Amino acid sequence: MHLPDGFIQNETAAGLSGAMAVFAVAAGLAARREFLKGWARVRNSGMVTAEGIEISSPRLKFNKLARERIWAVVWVSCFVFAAQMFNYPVGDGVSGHFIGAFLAALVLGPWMGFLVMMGVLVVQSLVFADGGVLALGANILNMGIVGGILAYYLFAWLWRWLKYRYKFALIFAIAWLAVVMAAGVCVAETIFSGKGGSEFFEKMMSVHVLIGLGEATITIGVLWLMRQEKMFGLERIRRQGGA
Amino acid sequence: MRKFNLLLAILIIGLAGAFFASAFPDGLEWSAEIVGVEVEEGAGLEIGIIPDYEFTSLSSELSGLMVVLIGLGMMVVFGLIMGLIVFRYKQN
Repeated sequence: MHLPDGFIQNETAAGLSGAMAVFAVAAGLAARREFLKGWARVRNSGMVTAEGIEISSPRLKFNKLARERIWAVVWVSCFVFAAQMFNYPVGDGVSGHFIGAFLAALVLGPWMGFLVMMGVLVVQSLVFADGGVLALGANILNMGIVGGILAYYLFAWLWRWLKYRYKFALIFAIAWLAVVMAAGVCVAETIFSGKGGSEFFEKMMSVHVLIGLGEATITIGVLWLMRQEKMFGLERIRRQGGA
Repeated sequence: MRKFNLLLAILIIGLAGAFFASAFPDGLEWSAEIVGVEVEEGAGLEIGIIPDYEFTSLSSELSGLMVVLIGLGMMVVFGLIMGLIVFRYKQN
């Protein structure tokens, strides 16, 4: 899935990289705004006696929440990085692998999940030459936005429509779809740049339809191991209706 | 939460080990030489979980295990910095 340099036009690649940099700042601000809103909710729930003495410490609750969120970012980053190490060569310098963007979005929320994916892709590209530096923007778009944010909002909309039933079945389906969508956009970018063709499309899709099943299984497995209240992205959908 | 963290740590170490073993069939033998343990030549080292796996970015002498560990270290630093930036709060 990591596009190397030269697969898409340089102008397109540079434009996408710039757009993704701006998007990353916006995602960081959105994640922070959401967190502070959550903190305000916790603070307002602090118990106060009739004499006005606060008997539960909202500060402590906030600190615990912040610590949990920070460590969640750390372990999701590590997990996605380690899991992406397993590559299936598709040919012509392109590989298929576990993405983890949808999992990151479900655990951390769409914005923080996007930032984690971006961090993983930046380290892979700059330090390990996995994916082109110039194509970084395209890779972030494919895996971070299409495979993460878009899949998350599709899941949120469908889950709400299903009245919060069939959670794991829906997660399985959307995790699979996220990989296929990301691969589809990846192929579309190369075709748009005049490099890809029907053979590349067939190769990518046939591999990623199978990889999607693995992605869905791993996503379900990780979420099954987690406690409900630690899935900030899922809680967010329940609280805000995914909006 | 502790149980979950332990499971996760085992999973990450397992993934790193599996990557190491699959990417470098003689990786375990190399590790054994480093720590001074004798192993039977080639025993159990031919089976990788993805036999045709290839890590094209490995251009130096760094072993697969080192690459994974360095990467994980970077991700921990990245996660901490990003988490602290986004989730920091200055108490009034």
